[in-house]
This record gives sequence, structure tokens and C-alpha cells, in this order.
Amino acid sequence: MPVSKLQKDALVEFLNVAIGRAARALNLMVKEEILLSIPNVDFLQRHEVLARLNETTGGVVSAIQQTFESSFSGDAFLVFPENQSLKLVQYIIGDLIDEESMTELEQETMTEVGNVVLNACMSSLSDQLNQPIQSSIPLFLSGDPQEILFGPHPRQSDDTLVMFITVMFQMKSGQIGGYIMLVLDMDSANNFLGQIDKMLPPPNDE
Amino acid sequence: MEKKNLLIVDDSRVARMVVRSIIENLKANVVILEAANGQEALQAIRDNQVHAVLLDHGMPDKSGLEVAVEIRAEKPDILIYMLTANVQESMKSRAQTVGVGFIEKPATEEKIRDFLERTGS
Repeated sequence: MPVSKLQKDALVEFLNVAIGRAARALNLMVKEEILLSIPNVDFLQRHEVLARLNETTGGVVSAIQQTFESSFSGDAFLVFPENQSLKLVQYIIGDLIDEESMTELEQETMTEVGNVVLNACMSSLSDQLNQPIQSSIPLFLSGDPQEILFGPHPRQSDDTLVMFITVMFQMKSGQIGGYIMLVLDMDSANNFLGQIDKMLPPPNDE
Repeated sequence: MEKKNLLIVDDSRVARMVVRSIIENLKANVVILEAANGQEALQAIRDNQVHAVLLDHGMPDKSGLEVAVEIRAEKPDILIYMLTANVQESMKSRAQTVGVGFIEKPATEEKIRDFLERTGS
């Protein structure tokens, strides 16, 4: 899919602002600075997305997924290597409960973290693009990246092209890190870029 | 001074725990009630003299704004604040239209202290 340099630059800038807002939300929850990578935007076949995810997370992951809908639609994920989710729970509600309850509340805590972080990101995109975005109730998922990203019974083949956006984040202490990921099919990616085009200044004909 | 009843409405038990803990740490002069969805929230305001409500938006049965409209219709004097992760400007504007306040998640001590001051607690 052809994306101009200006479009990609604008897209990364919009995403930087959105992810910054998400990081701020996470920062308030864990009370520690959050370091962010530059957003990575790729057009990949689904099997390439999975290979990338396996490479970056080492396999089994915990994730919170929200579907979003606007003039474009897709899925947003907050993804952690599986062994990090209990650590995060400790940070968020460790003072409020005993160790035994920690595992019991792991899913609920992760879901609420995902709700806050992903909504912060999507709300920022909504405000920047002046497009209301509807988000689903967040869903906690754990296990194989393929099932998490594309569901247990994928309808599309592995060579289907998707727009794949990833940002890595990490607490400054290095204790916990993960990824925010957005997956859009190509029709939605086109609409998303179309919305971004509308926000760009008109081309200079001189 | 008589304690005021404050209702926290959120489908997330963890979100309710966090807000409760902040309020308790602030030693506010309130009795905390909890509801996990819109239906429970409406029942709580019928069964108790609720002074203020902190209301999540994204809940499975009814949205927070729908619940706010219904609470307004039954008990117009209750102070209602949305406490939500959906922080879009369009959402804030709809909250304003319904006549409810707006607090962005995550809840922090500062935000909850401001809210409590508005309730007079």
C-alpha cells in the first residue's frame, strides 16, 4: 500500500500524541515514569505479524483487547509477556490486598489497566482526528499470540495484509514493559489515512 | 456532621477498590456504597439517600450516561460525576449536555479530593 512520506510522518505524529496520553494514564497508575519507543507502522501479512509478536514477546502473552469503530475500525491491544502481568497487579493494587487475592484479581486488574490505557490512546486519536470512536468493553486474553490477535478460528488466510502499529513501553525501573498494538484491515487503514490526510495542510503547488 | 452517602458505579471491581481506597485514605466523611452496573446503581439510589455518584461509562448493561439520565430523572439533586477512561472531547461534551461532571480515569488522590470538595465532604 503506497503511503507518502508526509502521510507516514503525520501518522507517527498523531500516534505519538495518542501513545503519550496512554503512557500518562499508565504513569498515574503505577506512579513511575513510562519510557516509549517511536511508533512503528508496517503493512504486513498476518503470518509476519505473528512472527514479529513471537520475536518481541517470546511467545505466550497476556493481552487486553478492545475493538474500536469509527470511519475506520480495528482492534487495539495492550500486550505483556505473560510473566509480567502479576508484577503489574502488584504495582496497581498490591497495597490493597493480600498475596493470595492477587492471582484472583489478576484478570480484573489487567482488564481495567487495558481499559484505561487503550481508551486514553483511542480518545486522543478521536480528538485529533475529530472523529468519535466507539470502543467495546475490554477483554482479557492469555495464551498463543495467533489466537489473541486473530481469534481461535480465523476467517482470513495468513497472507491477508494488515496495517500493524506497535509501540513499546517500559517502566523506567525496567520492572515492566509491554506493547500497545493496533491492527487494522486494509480498508480501514485506507480510511484511517484518509482521515489523517484531511488534517494535513493542502499541498503546495509552487 | 452527618456522613454523606457516596455511590461508586463501575463494572470493574478493581476500579471500585482503587477509588474506595483513595477515599478512605483521604478520611472523607462519607459512607461508600458500590454498584457494579446501571441496574444496581438505580436500585441503590432508590434504597438510600445518595448525595453523590461516581459513574463509569463503559458498562455492559447500560452506559454511564444512560444511567446518569435516569438518575437525574428520579433524583435531580444528586451530584453526578462520570469517572471514565473514555476521555474523548465528544464524550465530555455529552456529559456536559446531560449536566454531569467529568473525571478522567485513572482515579488519583488529587482528582478524588477535588470531587469530594464539591460534595462538601
